[in-house]
Formats: sequence, structure tokens, C-alpha cells
Amino acid sequence: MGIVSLDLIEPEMILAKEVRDSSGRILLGQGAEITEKHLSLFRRWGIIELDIEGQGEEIEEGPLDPEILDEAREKMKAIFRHNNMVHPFVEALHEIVSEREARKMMRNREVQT
Amino acid sequence: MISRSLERFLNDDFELPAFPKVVLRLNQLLASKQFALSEVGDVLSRDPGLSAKVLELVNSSVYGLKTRVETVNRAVVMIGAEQVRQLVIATSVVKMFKSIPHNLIQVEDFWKHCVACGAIAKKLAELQGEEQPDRFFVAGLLHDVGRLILYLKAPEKMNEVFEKVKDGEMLFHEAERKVFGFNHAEVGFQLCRIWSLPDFFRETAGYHHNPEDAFRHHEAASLIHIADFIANALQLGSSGQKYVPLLDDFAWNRSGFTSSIAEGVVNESMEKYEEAIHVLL
Repeated sequence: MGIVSLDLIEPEMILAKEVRDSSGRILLGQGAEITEKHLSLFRRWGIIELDIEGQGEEIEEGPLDPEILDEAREKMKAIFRHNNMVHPFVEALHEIVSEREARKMMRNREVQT
Repeated sequence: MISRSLERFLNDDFELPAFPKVVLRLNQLLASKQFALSEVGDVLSRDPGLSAKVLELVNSSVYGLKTRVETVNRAVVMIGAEQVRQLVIATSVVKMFKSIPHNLIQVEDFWKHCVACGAIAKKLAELQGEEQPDRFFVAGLLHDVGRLILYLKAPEKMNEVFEKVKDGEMLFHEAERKVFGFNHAEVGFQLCRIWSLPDFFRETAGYHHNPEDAFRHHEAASLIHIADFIANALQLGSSGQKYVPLLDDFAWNRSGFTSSIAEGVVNESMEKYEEAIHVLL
């Protein structure tokens, strides 16, 4: 599964997680095959992304691109600006969130290409 | 112990949404000290919606019970009457404040942050060998509830707070104090008192930014502080804060944790987080 922006979703893709509206009502269930009609409804309802089966799975496990990881580290440094970056726990957490961010960036880039 | 500005704020004509009847009945029943466990189940089952949520949470990885619990009576036996009451209160608070539209924040994102904090806090409590790790999930859920009241009751002033933190120089709770004269943690403390929650919850909500100043529950407040720190770093939902608050030295030293716990805590809290937001939001 992987989060895919609505603009990049094509009919016949399979929903990995149900879609809910803002009040929590299920609009389309997990495992459903997406149709053109669904897509136009989602657009109207302001849904911006969906969790799609089989997207970005290899990225969840595979090695991280070192350049993207460095980019993510730099980006994540900003949210820790009030903290002492040499504190071992802050450092450990910064690395974890940077890796998560790097995977997200790799997923987004893969979907775009 | 309550500042005059905060007292005025709470006494103002803003009415807190009312708890469902079931909560009031549970409070009465448990306060009487003489009750059968089956009575707790009977009271709770009069609210089928709440009962269903409690059962779903108790059966989720958040509680991690080995056998499936099919009835609320069984849930009371398995996790305890007081734990059920706390869970019912927290679930009701989320429900009461879930669908309120707001132009400064997405209320759903707010609760995601709180659920993340709760899931992480429970994991940290298990690592510390806490006897009742479940209450840390509830404490995490409620730790920022005071901020929600600030948003709902004083949106213009919260807008000022947003202006103050925009350039990243000041932390959110510091800016609240500048604008209001008190911060969301102090409001949270008073809300937990109004809701007759045990002092454990008053202090975890009230001192999660300054655990050193707690009355009795320094360890618990420190643990919620660290859970909040991790939840902010992971950017799971948001209570409005863009930056990770400063990791408090007192809290870190008091916890006795080392940095090696980070990865395990993050990985193992994720499943609990996903399941809990599925049930609650």
C-alpha cells in the first residue's frame, strides 16, 4: 500500500484502505476497484489522496537513496530547531524521522515518474 | 493554585459540551465505592455507541489482550471498572469535540496528535514496567485537551498565538502564556478536575511541558512529555505546533531511558496508533 495523490490515480487501481468523509462515514471500502465515477466523486468531495494497493511497497523495504536521505535530514532539522541536536535521543529521533521522510520523498518521486 | 486570568477564562459564559449521561452515571456509581462489576457493564451498555467503541479499543492492539472480549461486562472484568470509566471519558471527549469545524486547525489532526501521544506513552510505560500502562494511553489522549478549549473559546486570541509562533522563534505553549496569561496545560489540569478525573490525569495534562513542577506524578508527567516530544517529531497529526518542543532535561533524566529505545518505540507504537485512530476518528 502507499498514499497516492488523487491526480495520479487511474481506474482499476485497488483501494488499500477505505475512504472516509470528514465525519468518518465510509465512502468506499477497502479492496474496492476504483472507477472513473469514483474519481469524479472524490474530486467533488475534496478528497486529495488515497491509499492504493501495491504502490511504493518496494520503497518501504528497500535501501534509501543517500542523496534523498541527506535532503530529508536537512529538512527535518528545521522542526527540531528548539532542541539540542547533539542530545543522543534528539539525534536518534531526528534520524528516524529523516528516514521516514526520505521514504515519503522517494514514494512521491516514483509516483510522479 | 489557579491564576485569576484562568479562573475568569473558565467561568466565562462558554459552556463545555455536556458528557453523555452514561459518564455521569459511571462517575456516581464508582464514587459510591459499593458496586458490583456487573452494574458498571449494565450502565455502559445503555449507550450502545460508546459500548461499541470501548469494546473495539479493548480488542485492538492498544490493549493487546490475548482473548477477544465480546461484552462490556467482560471488558469491565478484564481491564477494571476504573479503567473502563477513564476510557469512556476519553472516548466521549474525543466524540464531543470531533466534528467541530474550525478555521485555525483541523480537529481531526488535533486528535491524531493526541492518539499518537497516547499510543507512544503506553509503549513507554510498558518499557518502564508500569503496573497500569493503559492509563497512559488515556493520559496521552487528554494531554492537550486544554488547547482545544482555547481554540474553541478564544479563536481570535489563538490567532494571535499563531502570529507569535509563525517565525519559529517562540514555542506554542510559551506564546499561549504571553497572550492568555496561562497555557493549554493549565487549562487541561482544570478540565480534568472539572471532569472529576484522578489527579494522575490532572498532572499529566497539567505538567507535560514542565514535569518538574508536578505535585506527585513527576514520572508520569515526564513520560507524557517524552511521548508528546516523539509524537510531535513524527508529525502524526498536529495540535497546531509546527516545531518539536524542547526535550526537557528533568523529564529525560527522570525517565531513565537511553536513546536506544527510540526505534523500537516508534515502530511498536505505529500499529496501536493506526488502530486507535480507526476506532476513535
